[in-house]
Parts: sequence; structure tokens; C-alpha cells
Amino acid sequence: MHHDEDNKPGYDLGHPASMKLLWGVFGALIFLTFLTVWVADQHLGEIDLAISMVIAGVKASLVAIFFMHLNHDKGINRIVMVGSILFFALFLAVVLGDAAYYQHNITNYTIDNPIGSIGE
Amino acid sequence: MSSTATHDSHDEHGHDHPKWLAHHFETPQQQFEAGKFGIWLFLAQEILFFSGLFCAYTYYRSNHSDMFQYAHHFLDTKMGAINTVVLIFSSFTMATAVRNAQMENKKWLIRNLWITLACAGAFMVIKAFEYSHKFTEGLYWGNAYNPSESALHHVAEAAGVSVDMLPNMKQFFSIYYCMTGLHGIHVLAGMVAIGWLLRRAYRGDFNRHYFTAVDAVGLYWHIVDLVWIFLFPLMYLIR
Repeated sequence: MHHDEDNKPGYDLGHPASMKLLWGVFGALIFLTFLTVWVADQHLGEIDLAISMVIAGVKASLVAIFFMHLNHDKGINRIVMVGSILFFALFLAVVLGDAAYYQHNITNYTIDNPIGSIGE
Repeated sequence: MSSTATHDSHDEHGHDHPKWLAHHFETPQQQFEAGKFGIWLFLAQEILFFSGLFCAYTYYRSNHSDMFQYAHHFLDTKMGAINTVVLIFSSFTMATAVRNAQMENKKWLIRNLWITLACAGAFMVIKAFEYSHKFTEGLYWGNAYNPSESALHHVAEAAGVSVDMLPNMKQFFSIYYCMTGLHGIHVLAGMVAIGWLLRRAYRGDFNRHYFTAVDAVGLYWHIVDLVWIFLFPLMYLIR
């Protein structure tokens, strides 16, 4: 279509991902989906949540790195993506820290007002 | 390249740049990178937008883990898993559509966009089945939460406790509807965007120097998938 422009500077920008890579990532994502369902049914207890979040994290990374081609993207775009996740983590940490600080108030309240005495 | 020579003429056809290259950009690469940076900023905003709800989820689950343990029995893991696979497949076809646009394969670009759109539709149909099933069981958000006897019996049986042991689970459903509802709105918005891409693809707007729109909608679509990747285990796989 614009073959004459291919050699002009600033015109060569498409770096198509190979079908092999795209199929591979898709296969891995499907496998991890079945894995996380299987693990959940093993009744591992407390560690269940941690395992499922690690699997979700791996899946999210696969999507971000290959489907969203962060592996070939500019550094600034990677900083934006990773930065937003860091701020998310900060948000979560402050909220949970704050909640833990006031937890004794909630605990005392539930002891003083056992289930049944609180209005539905 | 210099476009200054034709600047005075104020004639659109007098420029020595292609029609898809906006006036204020020197090269397609500059236009592409500016557009992509903008989309990434928008995606960062999306992550932070959803983070408020994920925060609420984490807070309530850490305080009322028993409520979440019981409430997951209301949800159908199979439906959630099918929807996860549907959405992952649509992400794959979207990523392939970007490749098709970059390689000027119009036929497959259009095909993959249609498949992505169909998957998005399938996701919403499955979600609608789930929602309507919950509505008939009285499983609403907040104070509208009024579960039917049969729903409570089902959960009590699955959890191995008596019905009167079950806590009020209205908070779980408030969070469930907020998170999956906001996600569903994003799927609908994605469908509109993919429809717009289809129209432009039929028109032959895209080529190897100009595929920013396909790339941008693709990135948005992957973020929608990404949110669901976390929602699925957090809602359906509580054990």
C-alpha cells in the first residue's frame, strides 16, 4: 500500500508478534485457568487465596507482556503500567493498615453486641 | 520530512503526508507513540479506578471471611470458568487482530474483530443468565438482599451447616454486583469500540504505518480481560 514509504525514517513501526507466540500464550492462559480451578477444589485451606492470586498474577503478566506487547514497548509505558500497580499496592496497604489499627474497636463491638442483638 | 513547504496553501491535498497522519505529527512513529502513551495513561487510570473496589473487597473479606466462605456457594464456578475461557480467547483474537492490521491482512483483521465481538457478546449473555438466576433467588445488593428459602438451603447444604447458622450476606452481593457490574460495563464499552474498529477495517483505514486505533482498543480489551483474571478467583474460587 505504501511500499515507497517503508524506508523513510519514522515509518517502520509494526512489529507483529508471531502466531507461535500468541498461541503459546493463549495455551498457557487456558492451562492456568484450569489449574486455578483444580487447586481451589483441593481444599488446601488458608494458603488457597495466596496460590490463586499468584496464578492470577502470572496470567496477568503473560497478558501484559505478550498480548499488550510490553516486551517491545517504550520504557515510559512500562513505568506507567508498573507505577499504577505500585500505587494500587500502596492504596491497599494503607487501607488494611488503617483497618488493623481500629480492629479492636470492631472486635469489642461484636463482643458487646452478639449476633441477634444487631438489627438485620 | 518537511511539511512547511505546503503549509501556506491551506489545502488538505497539498500536504506531502498521508491522510491518516495528523497535521501536528512529523512521522507516523511520533503519532503512534503519542497515541500509545495516552492510552497507557488511560489504562493506568482504569487500574486505579478498579483498585477502589478491590480495596473494598479485601477489607470486607479480611473482616468477614466466613461470609465470603458461605457466599461463594451462591456462585456457579462452571459459569465463571466458561466466561474466563471466553474472555481469554477474545484477548487472543484481539492480539491476533493487531498482528493482522500490522501485516495489512484485511480479511483476517475483520474476521478476528468479529470473533472478539462475538466472544464479548457471549460473555455478556452468560453474565445475564447468572444475574437473572440470582434475581429470581432474591440475591440482590445491600438492603434489597432477600434470599429465597431454596437458595439458603442450597448454600447451607453445600457448606454443611444449618440454615440459621448462615450470616447475612448482603455485603458480599453489594461487592459482587459492583465489581462484576463495572466490569460488564467495560465489556459493553469494549464492544462499541470493537464495532467502531470493524467499520474502519471494512473501510480499509488501517495499514502497516497506521494501526494505532486497533492497537489502542486492543490494549483496553486486554485490561478488561486482566481485571476478570483477578475477579474470577476472588469471587468464584473462595474455598
